[in-house]
Amino acid sequence: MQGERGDVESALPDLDGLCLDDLDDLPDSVLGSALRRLIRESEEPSEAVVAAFDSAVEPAFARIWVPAEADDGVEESRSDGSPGTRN
Amino acid sequence: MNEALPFRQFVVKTAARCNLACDYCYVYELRDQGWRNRPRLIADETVTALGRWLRAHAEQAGLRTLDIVLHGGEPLLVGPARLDAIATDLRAALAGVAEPRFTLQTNGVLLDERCAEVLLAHRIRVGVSLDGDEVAHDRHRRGPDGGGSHAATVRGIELLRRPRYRPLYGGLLATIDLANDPVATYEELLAHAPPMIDLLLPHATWEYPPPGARTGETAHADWLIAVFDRWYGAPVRETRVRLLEDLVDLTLGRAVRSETLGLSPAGSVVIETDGTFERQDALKAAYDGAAATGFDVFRHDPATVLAASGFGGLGADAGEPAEPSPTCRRCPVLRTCGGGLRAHRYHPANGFDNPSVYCADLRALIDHVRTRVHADLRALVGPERRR
Repeated sequence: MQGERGDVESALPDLDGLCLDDLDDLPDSVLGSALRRLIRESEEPSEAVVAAFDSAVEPAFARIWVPAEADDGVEESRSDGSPGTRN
Repeated sequence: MNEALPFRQFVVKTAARCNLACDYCYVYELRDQGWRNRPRLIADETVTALGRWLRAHAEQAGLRTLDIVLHGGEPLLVGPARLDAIATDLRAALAGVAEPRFTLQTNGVLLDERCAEVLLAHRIRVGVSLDGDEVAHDRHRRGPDGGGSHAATVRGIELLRRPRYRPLYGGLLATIDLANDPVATYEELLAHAPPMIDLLLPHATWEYPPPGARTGETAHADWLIAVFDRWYGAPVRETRVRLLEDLVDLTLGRAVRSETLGLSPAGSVVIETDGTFERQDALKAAYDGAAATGFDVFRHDPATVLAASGFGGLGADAGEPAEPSPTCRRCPVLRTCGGGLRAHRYHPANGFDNPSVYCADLRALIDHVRTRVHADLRALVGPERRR
């Protein structure tokens, strides 16, 4: 799926050449989130994707960092790969 | 024989019993009855042997992280002290080699502060099974006495939503019931502010077809399409819906970590309370013993288990086809559908060499998602827009 660095190369013509510069223009919709994942993955390819158990929360998003005082908010990885803070 | 990929996810059954008696449960109520002969709870020596096995596997495969799903039955039946000990022992066994990433799937009934403190200490992220509102949930998810579990489950979810425990809240899993309104179900789940929702097709095979389904209809697709349109159409994403998100990602050409969709190879294995390895847990819906492997953490080292025919691939035994059926291989949506969950392909006459019993539903759903995504994609980032 990866073409030139940072550019998406896709069987879908509309996605060819999509790159990090396009991130800011994407809406916060479901499709916008999906495109962010696609662009970030083309920038930083992840390890091999294998199927995980469906009857459980997704382990790929189980990286949580619990501070000493959780009431202050918790950093966690968002599903689109960006860092975030959840209260 | 499939190339043996290292397992990355370990579904550890800490309890072989449950405090609920849900009528659709694949562990107790469908075909497999292996639970009857297993220890009620995982024993200390089994945890120790599992820890040794995991360490050896991580070392041999060069894995720096292992995903450990604490599951059951109801995994919290072990109690907070034992849960603490299990997580401590597994983490200690992996020390210096790999980091365990724990998750736990529960019915939520036993979640209390003492339990939540243990979960917090071990960073165990929690998924809770909730089917919708009280009527929807209690139609199936009842205690042995017949009483509903909705109120207790919601209490558990509310605990996880407290600021202190919020990092533990992984999401909600709902089994689809055609008797429930799809959009109302989605909105009811959404009201609990989950970071993720997953919608599970009720387990079924060609021998035992989906509940409420009629030939020539795609009722489960219709149900999911209604949810998709509601979820996808929101101007700002309200939460993740894993099944539908996977469909969007597959439509865009990404691979997904799904047993139900796509063609990603298996990366998961189940360890029962007696230390035996089992294949994809949902196979228990197919026939008694369908998930059995003959391997266990005491007698079989990782290299032996991994080298076994097809064990690390699509979950095929010798003699079982590792690939989707010939019908599926000719299908234009195979890359997205993947042939469906393996258990759903089962027919007593020819095993798993069939399309999914949900084939027509999956096709209708995939076509709908593709049409909407392609149209929106063109408007959002198409060449004309970017020119």
